Amino acid sequence: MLLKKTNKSIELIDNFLNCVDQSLLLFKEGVKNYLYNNTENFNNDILQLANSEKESDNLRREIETTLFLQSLMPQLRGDIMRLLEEMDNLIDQAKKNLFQFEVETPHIPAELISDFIRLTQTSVSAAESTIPAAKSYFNDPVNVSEKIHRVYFYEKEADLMADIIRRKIFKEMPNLKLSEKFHLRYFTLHIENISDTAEKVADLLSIMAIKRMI
Amino acid sequence: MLTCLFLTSGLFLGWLLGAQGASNIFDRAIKTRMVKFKTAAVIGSLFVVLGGILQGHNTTGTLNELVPLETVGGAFTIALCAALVVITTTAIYRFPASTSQAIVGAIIGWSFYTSAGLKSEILFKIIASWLLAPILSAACSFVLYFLVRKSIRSSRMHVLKKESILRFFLILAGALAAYSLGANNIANVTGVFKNSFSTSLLLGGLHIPSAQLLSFIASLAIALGFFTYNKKTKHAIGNGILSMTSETIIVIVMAQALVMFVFSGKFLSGIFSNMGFTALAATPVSSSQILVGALVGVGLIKGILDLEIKKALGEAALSAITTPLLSLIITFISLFFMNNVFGIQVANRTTLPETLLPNEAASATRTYQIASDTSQQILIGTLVLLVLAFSIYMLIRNRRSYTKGKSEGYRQAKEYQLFDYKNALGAIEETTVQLENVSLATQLEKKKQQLITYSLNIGEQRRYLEHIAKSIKQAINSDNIEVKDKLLKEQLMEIEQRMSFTGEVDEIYRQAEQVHMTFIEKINESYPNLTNKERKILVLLRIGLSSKEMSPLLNISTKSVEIARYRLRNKMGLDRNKNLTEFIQSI
Repeated sequence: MLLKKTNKSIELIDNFLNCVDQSLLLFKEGVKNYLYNNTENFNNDILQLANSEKESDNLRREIETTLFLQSLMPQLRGDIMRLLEEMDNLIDQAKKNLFQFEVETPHIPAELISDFIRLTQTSVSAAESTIPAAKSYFNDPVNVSEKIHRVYFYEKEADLMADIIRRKIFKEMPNLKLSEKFHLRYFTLHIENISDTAEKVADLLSIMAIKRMI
Repeated sequence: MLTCLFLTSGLFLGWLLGAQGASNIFDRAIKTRMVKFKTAAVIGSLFVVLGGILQGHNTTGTLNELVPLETVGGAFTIALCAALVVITTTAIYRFPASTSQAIVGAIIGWSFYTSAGLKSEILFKIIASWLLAPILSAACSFVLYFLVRKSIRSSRMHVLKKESILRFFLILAGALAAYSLGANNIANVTGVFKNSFSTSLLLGGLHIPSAQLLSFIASLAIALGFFTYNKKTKHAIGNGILSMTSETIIVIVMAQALVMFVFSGKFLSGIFSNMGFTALAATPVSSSQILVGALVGVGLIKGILDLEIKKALGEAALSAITTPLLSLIITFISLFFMNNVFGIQVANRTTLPETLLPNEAASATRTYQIASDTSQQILIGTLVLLVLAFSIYMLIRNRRSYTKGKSEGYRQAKEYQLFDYKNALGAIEETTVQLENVSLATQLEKKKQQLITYSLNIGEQRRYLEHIAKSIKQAINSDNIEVKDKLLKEQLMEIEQRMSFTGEVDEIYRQAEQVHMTFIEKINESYPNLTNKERKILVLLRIGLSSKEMSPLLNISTKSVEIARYRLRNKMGLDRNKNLTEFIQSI
């Protein structure tokens, strides 16, 4: 009976992590579609991402209620809730960014498209790497540090790429208006922020894993 | 009725024992909210009663073997003194004193007083068990923790599933520990009363013999302790020592259960006999000391043997030495009063030496000696009330000191906070003053420079005016008109040259350079082939001056300024459509 309820909670957590994974994929596709002017696909991605975000919110609340109602892991549940909140932030940010692309329609010069795609992929890779790390925390905390190493690596790469893009915008593109430069800088920052949130998740996970191993 | 009244001291000791046991077994599980208090209390009390009834006779037998005690008065005094010692030493060391050690100390005190033969072999076995129990507990928890941790890590089980399973096993371990506590420590309550308690009960067709009834009543007292233990206490052993994960808690409880179970039966003595050692008796051991042993075991495997564990070890050792000694002394003195003042029989006449036997003649003269049964009942009742009052006093004192300490802590924390705020404000104030000072010093320096410039200027002007005055004087004094004209023309030329304001223009240029430093750097980087004069024109254009305004400053005509601007446009490669001033403003 008790394990039945526990299995349900485990299933909810797995679903949540899958939801995060799916949302990140949608974000990646969405940015790509925007950059290549596939408006129809881009709108579709936005819609799906919004649904995914709603679902993840519901799942997070359900997990929270289950953990508290069944008094599961009183010592760890605070940490676990924080972890889920931080991971939910990843989806929120992805959704917000895609909406910003839709509303503000930034003009991205052709020579920057490949850079933006690379930045998006690296930033999303950092975020995606938190999922196996989180799964590892639940099943095998000893290996968490190994998994979060990838997050740190991708985050650093994303920072580097964002810097390169910013340098290109401000130093090598005199034809762009200052307002356009600022606009592009903000979008670089928004995409980069996803990897920063992933880094926060990784930091939290590393502490949580240590707590579980002491 | 009198026997029941005498039994109250034992029950009081049982209640104390139950409260300590509950704290040692379930406190960590309740504090980490892995087990609810109600569940812990119900399961704990149920299994403590079971343990006491089913297996309590072994340890009771050992205490009985140590010295056969047949008078209820003696048993009452022993249990009462043990309870008082437990309360007192717990309050002193803030470490739960062992009821087993208190009761054995009291029994030794009784045997000294009555000169009853104490079986030293049994006493040796009891002391050896006390030493062995924490060591065994440490070894047990060490092995158990190693196995539990290894199996959990290798299983790669989901943390939720692991927690659920561990919680189930924790309740099981708690039940087993409560059973072992009942089986092991019930002797502390029943051991001294076993021979003097002869009441049996007939329930329907079921006859409950006195020994079983006594065990049952004692178990109920311990169970009551489980329900009433102070779950808010912060002095429970191990709190704050190790990070209390579910694995740690389960191992600690399991180690307690196993060790107390081993010392409750003949199992250990069998092993020791087979190994060729002296057989160890089933002995009541201290659950608190076993708990400290278990913490050391877990601490060793975790590699954390910090100051707190060492402190707990020291307290346990001190308590283990002080409790039996204090109990011995207090019992000895109390027995004297009980026997001689209150006339309560504390031992059989056969075991009591002649000097201690109540003297018929003397008793006639002692007016304070109370002999009648009713008076004895009143006396015992008063004593029990006194003990209760003492316990309540100790409890209130402890709580007061705790509340006082807490409020003192709050006050200190507030003071520290205030101090921190003041420090922070002071630091801000200091930084502000320093910044103001720097700014004032800069201003002062500027003013000084200005003063120097003014004074130099005044000197220069004075020298120049003196020079003019001298020339004019020469012209006046000269009789030759040609010389006069020449001198006056020279002066006029000099004055006209002076009117070109070279110094002032340089000053304007210098100040503009300071304000538009970045602009000048950019110009130098982008157009390195410009002349100094052209750079000056650019700076003046940046300030926003027109060609007409620039011409007197540069000491050239407006037309020349226009030509210079045209050259500049060419050098900078500007289109015809582009405005030079706008372009310069946009850099």
